[in-house]
Amino acid sequence: MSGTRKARRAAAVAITANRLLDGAVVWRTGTGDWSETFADAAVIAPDVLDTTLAADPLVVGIYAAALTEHATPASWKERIRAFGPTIGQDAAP
Amino acid sequence: MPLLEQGEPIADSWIAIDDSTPLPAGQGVISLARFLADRPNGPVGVRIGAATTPEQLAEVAARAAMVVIEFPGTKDGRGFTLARRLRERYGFSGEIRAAGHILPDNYVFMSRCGFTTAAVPEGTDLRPWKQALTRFPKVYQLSA
Amino acid sequence: MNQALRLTDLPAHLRAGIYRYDSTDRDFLAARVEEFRDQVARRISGELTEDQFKPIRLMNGLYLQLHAYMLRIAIPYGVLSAVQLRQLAVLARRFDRGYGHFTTRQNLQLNWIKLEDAADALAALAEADLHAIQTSGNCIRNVTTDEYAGVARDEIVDPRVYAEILRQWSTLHPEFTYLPRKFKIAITGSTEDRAAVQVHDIGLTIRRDEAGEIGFRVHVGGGLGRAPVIGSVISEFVPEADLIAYLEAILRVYNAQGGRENIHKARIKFLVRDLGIDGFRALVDEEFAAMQRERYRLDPAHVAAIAARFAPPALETLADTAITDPDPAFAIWQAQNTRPNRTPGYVSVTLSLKPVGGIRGGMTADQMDAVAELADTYSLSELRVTHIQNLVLPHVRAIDLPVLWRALTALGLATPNIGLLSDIIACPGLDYCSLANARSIPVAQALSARFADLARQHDIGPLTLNISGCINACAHHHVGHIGILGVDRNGEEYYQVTLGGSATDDAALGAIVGPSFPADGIVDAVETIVQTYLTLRQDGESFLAAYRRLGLAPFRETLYAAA
Repeated sequence: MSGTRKARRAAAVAITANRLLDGAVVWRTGTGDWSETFADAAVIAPDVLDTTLAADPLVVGIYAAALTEHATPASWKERIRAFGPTIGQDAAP
Repeated sequence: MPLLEQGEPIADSWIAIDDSTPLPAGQGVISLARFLADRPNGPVGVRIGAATTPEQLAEVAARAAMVVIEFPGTKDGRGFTLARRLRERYGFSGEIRAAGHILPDNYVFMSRCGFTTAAVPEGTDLRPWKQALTRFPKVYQLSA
Repeated sequence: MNQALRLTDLPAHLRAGIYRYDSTDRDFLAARVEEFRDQVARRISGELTEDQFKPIRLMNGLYLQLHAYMLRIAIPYGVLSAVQLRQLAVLARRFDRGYGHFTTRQNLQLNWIKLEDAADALAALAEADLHAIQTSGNCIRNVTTDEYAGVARDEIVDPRVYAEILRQWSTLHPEFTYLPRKFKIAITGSTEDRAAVQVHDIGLTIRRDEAGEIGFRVHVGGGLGRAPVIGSVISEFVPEADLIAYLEAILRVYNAQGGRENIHKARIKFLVRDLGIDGFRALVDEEFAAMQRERYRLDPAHVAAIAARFAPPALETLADTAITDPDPAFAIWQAQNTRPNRTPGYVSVTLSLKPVGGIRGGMTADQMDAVAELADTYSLSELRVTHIQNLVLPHVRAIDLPVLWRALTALGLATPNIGLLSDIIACPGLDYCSLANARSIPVAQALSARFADLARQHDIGPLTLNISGCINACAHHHVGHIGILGVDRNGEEYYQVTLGGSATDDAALGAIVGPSFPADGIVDAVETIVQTYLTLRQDGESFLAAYRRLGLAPFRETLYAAA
C-alpha cells in the first residue's frame, strides 16, 4: 500500500487495519493484539516494518501508518481514521 | 482435477496436451496457437485465453470439438462473452469448459452463458457449486 | 411502525406510479440475500479470502470504508415509496447510527455497518422490496433518471418504464457482471435533460420518430472521474424493440475489448477514445448485426405491462390557481422549491437536504419517518431522490402547499435554496471515504454558512457548486458551474477550483482556474469568484452565461491578484 511506502520515510509508524467483523479501525499494540484506541498503538521504527506486516485473519488491509516525531498520525487521513470523522462521530445532519 | 457438469462430478474424457507433445489418437486439448498453426483433423479440444478475438473464435467454433476457456482471474469476465459468442454468434454446440480462476459464486453465470462444464481445483468443496445452480428460481435475462 | 408493509398491502389509491415487486422479484431477492449470508459465512470462516470476497460484497453494495463497512442502498431510478422510506429509517436505527446520506446516484448510504449484520440488513431491505445489488462493483449500476419523471410538463415519454426494464435486464446479468470497470446508465424522457445523460457510460434520450414510434438516442463513453469526457452519439435512433440487443452489443464489445490492465483506463470512455467513435460504432454494429435479434427483441406487450405499473395515479380534477400565504417567506420557498406538474393544480415539491451548516444529502431516521408521513398525506405516498441529493414529493396539490410548507419548515427541510449556491453537492469525502484525499462535508458546511443570507443567494441566482473529495468525482465537480476538487499535498488538504461546468443539455466540463487553495482559503476563493461575477455581470446574466462570455481571465486576476 502507498501508506506503507510513505511510512518508510516517516519518523515512526503504527501498524493499523480494519477489523474484519465490523470494519472498525484497529491498531496493533505492543503485545500483538488489536485495539480500537489509537493511544494503545505500538510506535515502531520504520526500518523494522517488513517483519511486522504479517497477514492476520481477524483484520483486513494491514499497513503501516506514518506518524510524526510526536507519535501522532502524520496525515489528515490517518488523523480521521484514528479519531473519527471531524464532523463528529455521531454527527447527524 | 475434478470436472463438474450440472454441479455433479463427471469423468473427464479429454487429455491436456502441451505444445511439445504429439497429438494422441484420442481426445486431446491443445493450445490455441497450435490449433491455428497445425489445423489438426479429427476431434480436438482447444484451450483459449480471455483475449481470444472474434476471428479466432470463429475458427475454433468451426473446427474444434470442445473448448476450454481459461479465466485469468475471478474479476475478469471476458470468458463469459467468449462462451456467449461461441454459442450465439458462431453456433458452437460442443462442450465449453470453464477453467482457471473460477468461483462457485459465478457458476450460474457460466452455465447461463453457455458453459457446460467447470474444472475445479483438487479438494474443492462441491457444496457451494451444487447450491449455486438451484439458488435462483428465476432470472431476468436470456441465457445462451 | 417498525414492521414493514408490503407495497401490495396498501390500498390502491396509495400506490401511485410505483413499480411494485411481483413474486419473481421477491423470490429473486430472498435468494440473493441468502446467497450473501452464505458468502459472508465463507469469508468469516476463512474459506474466501478478502481478494475473492471483495468483488462479491461490492456487488451487494458493501464497501469497507475508513471506519466501518458502508452499505449503498439502491433507490432504483430514484423512486421511493413512503413505506420504503420508513424501512430505511428502520435500517438506519437498527444497523447504523440513526442517519444516512443520499447520493448523486440517487442511492442512500449508511456509513456504520458491520459485516456480521450485513445479511440481516439486506433481509430487512428486502422486506420493503429494496436491495443494494450492483450499487458497486464492475457491473451495471443503478440506472438513474429525471426526478420529475411521470409528472414533468416537458416529458415526451416516461423514462421510468425503460429504467425499470433496464433494471431487470442488468440485475445479475450473466455476461456483464465482471466488466473491466463500473458502468453507469442514465435515461431521460424530457426535452430538458435532468439526468446528465452526456456524462454517463451510456446515456439514453427517449425520442419519437416521424411516425410517433419510440426510440432512443444513445450517447456512449461519457463520464467524469479522472479523465472527464462528454459522451459521443453512437446512434441517433435505436427503435424500442432493439433497445436490449443494442445495449448488449455495446456491452459485449466493451467486455471483450475494454482495458483491464490499468484501473484508471478501464472505463468505456477510454475504449471509445482509443478506437474513435466511428471505430467503436463499427464494432458495435458488427456485433449487433451478428446477434439473434429476434431473441433479444423487446416485446411491446412486456413494455406495456411495465408501463401499466407506472400508470398515472388517480388525481383530482383541479385548476392551476395562484397560492398565497400571509407569511412572505412562503412565496420565496414556493418560487424556489416547487414546480408545476403537467396535471393542473398539482406541483412537485423539493425538500432541501441542504440546510445552512448541514451535511449535504444527510437525513436522520426521525426525519425519514416524518417525511414518509408527509408523503402519505400530501403526495400519494410517493417520493423521489434527486441526483442533487434532495428529495421530491411529486404529487402535491398546490392548495396544500401552505400547510406542507409549515410542516417542512418545522423539520428543517424547507430551506428555499434549490438551484442556488448553497444547494451544494458534496460527497462524503475524507471524513468517511477511504478513497478521498480531502474532506468535502466541512467545506460545504462552511460555504453554506458563509452564503447563508438567502437574499444574497437569490441575487446571485442559479449556481451549481459541486465538491468532490477526490478525482473519482462522486460529486460531479467537473460539471458544476463552480467545481471544487480536494487534493492531498503531503498529507494536507488542498482544493482545486474549476469554473464553467454544466451537466444539462449544454453539458460542459469546467476549466481549472489555477493553483489550488489550502483548506483555510477555499471559502474566501469562492467568495472572490462570486464577487467577480457580481461585479462583471450584465443585466440578468447568470453565472454560467457570464463565465461563458468572460472566460477564466477575470476570475484568475481577482483570485491570484494578491499572490
